[in-house]
Amino acid sequence: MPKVNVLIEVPRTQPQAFAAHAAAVGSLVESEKQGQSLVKDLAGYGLDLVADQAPVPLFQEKTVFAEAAAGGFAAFASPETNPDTAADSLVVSCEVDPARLADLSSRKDVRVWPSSELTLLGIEQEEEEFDLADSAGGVDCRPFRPAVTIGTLRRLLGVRAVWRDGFRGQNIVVGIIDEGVDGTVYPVVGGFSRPNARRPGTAPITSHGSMCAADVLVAAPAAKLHDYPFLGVPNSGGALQMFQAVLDQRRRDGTPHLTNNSYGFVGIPPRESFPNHEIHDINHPLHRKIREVVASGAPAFFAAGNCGENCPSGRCLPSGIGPGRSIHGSNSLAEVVTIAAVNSRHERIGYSSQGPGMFEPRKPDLAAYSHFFGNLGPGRPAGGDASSFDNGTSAATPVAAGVAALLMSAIRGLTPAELKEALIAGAIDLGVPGQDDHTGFGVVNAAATYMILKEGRWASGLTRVRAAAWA
Amino acid sequence: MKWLVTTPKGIDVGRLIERLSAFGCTADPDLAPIPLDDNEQVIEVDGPKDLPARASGESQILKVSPNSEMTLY
Repeated sequence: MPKVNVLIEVPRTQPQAFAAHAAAVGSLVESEKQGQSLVKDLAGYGLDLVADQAPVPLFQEKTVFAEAAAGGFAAFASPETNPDTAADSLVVSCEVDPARLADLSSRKDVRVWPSSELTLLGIEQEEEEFDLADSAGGVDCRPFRPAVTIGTLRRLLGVRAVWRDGFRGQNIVVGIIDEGVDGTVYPVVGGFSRPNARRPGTAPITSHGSMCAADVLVAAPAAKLHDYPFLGVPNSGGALQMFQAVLDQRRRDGTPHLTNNSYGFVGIPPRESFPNHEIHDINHPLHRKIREVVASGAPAFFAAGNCGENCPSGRCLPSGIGPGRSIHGSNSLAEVVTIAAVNSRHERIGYSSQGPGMFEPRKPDLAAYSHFFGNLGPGRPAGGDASSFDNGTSAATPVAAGVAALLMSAIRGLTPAELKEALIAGAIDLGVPGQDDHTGFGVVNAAATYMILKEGRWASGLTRVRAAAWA
Repeated sequence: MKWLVTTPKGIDVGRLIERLSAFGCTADPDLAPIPLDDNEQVIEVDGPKDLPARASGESQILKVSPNSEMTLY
């Protein structure tokens, strides 16, 4: 597993901090010498110094913010050279073995900070070569390939093509129907809860709903959220109540503009014993309510499920694993957008559920990325080491919903059917040409879909033409 | 077992729940009926496994559907 970049802050007084730093910047040997001196007590953590990044001094706040006359940094505004200053601690750039990161972070004598990848805003990046699987596709199964950063996902999705025109999901509200979102971290501005249940925005940062919130913001960082938390074990009655709350809110002010739904069933009860079960009865009240919400103009994104045949989740029952048996219930309704999961190499993740769907056979509709550091992972809001990352079709679905929110902020008035058609037309097709049981019409792509929508090509029936050509 | 009972709109829900209690059903009084289109509504109840059969003769019950547990993916 590749090492991760960190900044290690070592409390140490350095009397002539500016001079020492200048010496390190001027000489790789001096930089390494200073760095080694600072981390000499940290042997055994698999640390590698980043030698071309000289240790950086940090100063006591009472020094920094003191009056200029007392030697505070405000004196630096004067045109003459000021006296050197003593540092309070020094920061060293290192690479660390991810398996040792938690141990290192737990030490009391140093502080470990993330050293996350930054992007130059407003400057075109050079074309980046991605590590993509060949166009025939592939499958990623346990042990899964390493997770990637949000930055990688944003480049793969092509969100900057939309961002450049000023759209980042602003003025769009996404409803998260899940177990609740941490509103102190994510932009929860409303929602609904049942009596005596968790209020919107009060879930912990480690909640499944908080992961969904983070993942919507990958493509649409300016979107807002409504939180519709199930409490405890979710059931269809709870979901029914939440969709009614969505409909009530939409009647009042047109929000939320779309919903994310990363839940469902993991097994199929026998039809003869349970003919009215949600999986068998397309007119179950929950399905009817979902159709009402979509008819009101709010697209519904549903996770395909984690019961694909290659490496199904341990929760899946044998009756619900594999092609034709793993996309069922609300996520197989024709009216919703059903999302499978791929990794950043465009390999289908082996647990991603497979069509045909049990109501609408042509499922899933699309795929989106999972296995990335969104809410979970080093330096992310919920924390964790490199083995903790956003996962499941649960994570892929809000990535797709975020792309939808981004596009809806740019192209107002899209109907659910138009949005779905455009997403399909702009998708990167994998494997067998056209819709297939593994990744649907392909991986959502914001840039291509945006161009299609801007040019109005979606109105020409492009998807139908494409689908017919592949039939 | 949890059930979703579909009824016509405008009925006396309290009286219906009273009748359902004869079958061993209970309902959370804080949960309001959920409307379905213009003519129907849904109430959540806990009841016996054979509630659909027992309720089949009730004129104010249009349908009894399972209220099944789901899993976060």
